[in-house]
Amino acid sequence: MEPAGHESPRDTAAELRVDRLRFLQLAGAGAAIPTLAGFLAACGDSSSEGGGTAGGFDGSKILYLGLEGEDGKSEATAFRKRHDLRLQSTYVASANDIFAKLKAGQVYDLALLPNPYVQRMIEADLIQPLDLSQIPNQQDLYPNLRKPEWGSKGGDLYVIPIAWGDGPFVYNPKNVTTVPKSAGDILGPSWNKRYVLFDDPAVPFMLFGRLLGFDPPHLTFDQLDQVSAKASQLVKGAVAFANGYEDATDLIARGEADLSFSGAEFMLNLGKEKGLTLDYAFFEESHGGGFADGLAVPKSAKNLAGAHAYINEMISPKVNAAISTTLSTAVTNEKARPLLAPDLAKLYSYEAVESPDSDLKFEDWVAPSNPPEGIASQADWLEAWQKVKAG
Amino acid sequence: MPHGPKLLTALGLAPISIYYALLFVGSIGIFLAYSFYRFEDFDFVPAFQLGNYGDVLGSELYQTLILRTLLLALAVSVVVVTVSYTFVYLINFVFARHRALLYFLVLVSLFSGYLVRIYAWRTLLGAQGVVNEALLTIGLIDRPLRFLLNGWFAVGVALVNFMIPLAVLPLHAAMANVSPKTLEAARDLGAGPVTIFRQVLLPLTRGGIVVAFAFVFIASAADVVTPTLLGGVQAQMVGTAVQAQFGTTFDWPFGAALSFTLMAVVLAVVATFGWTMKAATR
Amino acid sequence: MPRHLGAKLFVAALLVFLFAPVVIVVMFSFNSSAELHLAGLSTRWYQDVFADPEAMQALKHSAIAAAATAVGALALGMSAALALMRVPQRLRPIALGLSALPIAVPGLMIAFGLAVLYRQLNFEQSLGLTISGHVLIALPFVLLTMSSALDRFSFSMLEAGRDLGASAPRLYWSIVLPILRPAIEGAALLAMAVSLDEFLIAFFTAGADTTLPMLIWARVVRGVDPSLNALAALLLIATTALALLAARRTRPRW
Repeated sequence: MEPAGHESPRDTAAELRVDRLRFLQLAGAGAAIPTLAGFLAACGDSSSEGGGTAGGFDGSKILYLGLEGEDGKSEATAFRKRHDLRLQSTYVASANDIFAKLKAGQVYDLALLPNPYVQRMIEADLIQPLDLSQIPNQQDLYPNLRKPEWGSKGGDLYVIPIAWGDGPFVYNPKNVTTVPKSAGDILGPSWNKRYVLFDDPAVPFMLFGRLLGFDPPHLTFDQLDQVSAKASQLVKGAVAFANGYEDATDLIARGEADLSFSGAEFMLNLGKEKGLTLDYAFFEESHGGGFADGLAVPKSAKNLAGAHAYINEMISPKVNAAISTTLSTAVTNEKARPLLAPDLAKLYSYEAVESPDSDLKFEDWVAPSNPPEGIASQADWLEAWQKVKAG
Repeated sequence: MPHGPKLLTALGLAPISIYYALLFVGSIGIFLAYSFYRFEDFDFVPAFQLGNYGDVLGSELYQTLILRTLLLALAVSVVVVTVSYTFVYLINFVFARHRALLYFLVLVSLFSGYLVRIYAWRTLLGAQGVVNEALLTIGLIDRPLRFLLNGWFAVGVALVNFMIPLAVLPLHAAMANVSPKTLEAARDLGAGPVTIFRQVLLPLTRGGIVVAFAFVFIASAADVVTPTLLGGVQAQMVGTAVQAQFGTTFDWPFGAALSFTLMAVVLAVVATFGWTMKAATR
Repeated sequence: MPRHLGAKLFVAALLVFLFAPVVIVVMFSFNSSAELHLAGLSTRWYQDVFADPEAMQALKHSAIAAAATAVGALALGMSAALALMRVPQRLRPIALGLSALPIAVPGLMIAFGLAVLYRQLNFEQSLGLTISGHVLIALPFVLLTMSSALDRFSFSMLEAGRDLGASAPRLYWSIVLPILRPAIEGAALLAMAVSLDEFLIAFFTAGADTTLPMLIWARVVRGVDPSLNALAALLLIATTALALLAARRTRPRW
């Protein structure tokens, strides 16, 4: 750790004493802390700072914040090599961690956001509008993903979807003989303590809202109460909150649960790795709530050119297909689909993102932030969910 | 030598004092300031108002969470202090020859991968976990015990597991005040185990007990990771709610107010415990 | 009936309980299968870890943080411990008690507090900020170790030295340091162990400079990954070795 790096261990003791004197002097000057922090930071990262210039981004560094597996780490290597780009990724456990880190002032060039989070991020002023002229591949995205409502505000687009799924539930066919049809079936006694959930109101509130004949995500306060009552039953009967799809698969593999209320097709692959055969199906209420993960550029980004170019690369047909293959998710670029293995290409029904009157509407997950009078807001949903959890 | 020039003393203590003032007082202070801020349009607006505290105290939800958290922390602290005290007594007066080794073994687990250790309880307590498989094999149960994992039980067990070294540390230091000769003398005078404990051990080790209780109580009440990984849908604690304020609802001022409310209640419990101990050993 | 049978059983049961999770982690790190039952012995997960650039990067950051924490905490802690010797005996426990505050306050509050503080100061998150926090929570351990060593330090030797005409620097160099050296090294190792295992402060201040516990967190909540056990076992071995060395160097009065 010594700045010069050539002292022998024998000198450490002397070094310490010198340090102590230096500290005393610094303390006198009242500058000990910033100096120490700066000194340590200097030791901590000796690598060069790689901010890109306005035009080119060759030789720069891109800081990614998000889930592991969606940063193109292995899929976009050729592109990075060509432009001498360095990708430095910070992996988080869930989307919740992303906000906490961005709001704490961290500099990132790219953030991975699941659809329910995007509007909140825009309102919290944490991400910036994208310059579509630098993302030509955006033209090739499926129509419903090209300029999705959930990723836009005031005519600006903030997020480019790189992967999506259609929100099935996933179960272990070995232990499940009667596959549930409606989300309401899960509330029956035969399912008690046999399933896992995600710690998020979006899916349960949407499903139960539909089950009760309401029009989620626009729920009145009275409707929200009724939906909460159902959700309460759901939470009471659950085994645990899963911390993501991998965790849900793990809990099923460990025999803790037979079904994951929120699932994704790629859990079947995750299960296979653990020697487990899984299957998936949809609740009759559920076509309408899929997930879409998109890349956004945080307000704090320094390497704007590099970030835009990287997003463009991530949705290029080849890379997009490669990511889809790794994660078993659906592709967002129309031209990527022919590159998929036949099984994977058939796994998802792409009419959902092709047709303007598709019933798969990603924004349905999210209550409005500034709703009209009498309609519950996102904050109301979150508070209701806290109460549901506290029982 | 011990009472040298005052200037040197002051100079020696200055760096650490400044460091503590800037980083410790600074970080806790600014966090406290945030608890009075207003949260508007996802922004933190500097203000001095007690609205956040009013929201915490006026909400049945958070009252319930705080109460549950305190009960769990109390249960964990009582178990940990009792077990650790017994252990420290035994290694000092019964297995004194192996004291160093035994003490070291316990301390080692203080630094042994806190995150993964918590996670390992899934493998131990799960439906197909080590404990259930063992019980099934010896025929004590015919179907896995499901209450072991994903609930208060697992959170309690994991907390007790990593809090024990934390309590052994101050208790061991306090036990140094008790000489084997004192115990012998008391025994020679015909004192029974209960009397020895109340009249000799307790007064001499009271400080250590209070410190151990405080350490364990504070750390368990504020834990986040254990309920997240092992608590299932049941074990909702204040720590998880605070974290939700940071990541999900984005309301940091409210999260700060919730943290300080919990700390105030926790410190009140610790103070009450210290005072009771003092009164009991007078 | 053997002597102290109950007491022996109690101590044995406690040790089994304490080490059960540790044993599980190490056992599964050598499991040849990715499934949740033990199959056979294999070092494949260790090979995975060493071939994983993320893990190696995190290892590097953790090592830097541990070393820097030791240097920082020692510099601050030693000067304080030496100065404390001049503080009247009855005030010392108060000073030591105050210095222990950073480990008495929940880690979550310190972590959030530091994150908010540095955000307010517009400091860019980095490993340097994490180290500043690690120094804060390692200081109590350093101070306690150094104070207890100094308690046993015989000051008459210094006086004798001074009577023989030795200058103050020379006194420190040839008397104080050699005697205190084991305690200094012990304190340094303890500080490194604290830093290596710390998660919350790192999570909220390190930014993109991922440390080992941060990487483990990102992976642990996404379900078990056998190479995680190998990673954890490595961390475990490192911290245990450091604690072991620390204990050998300081030789506290056990």
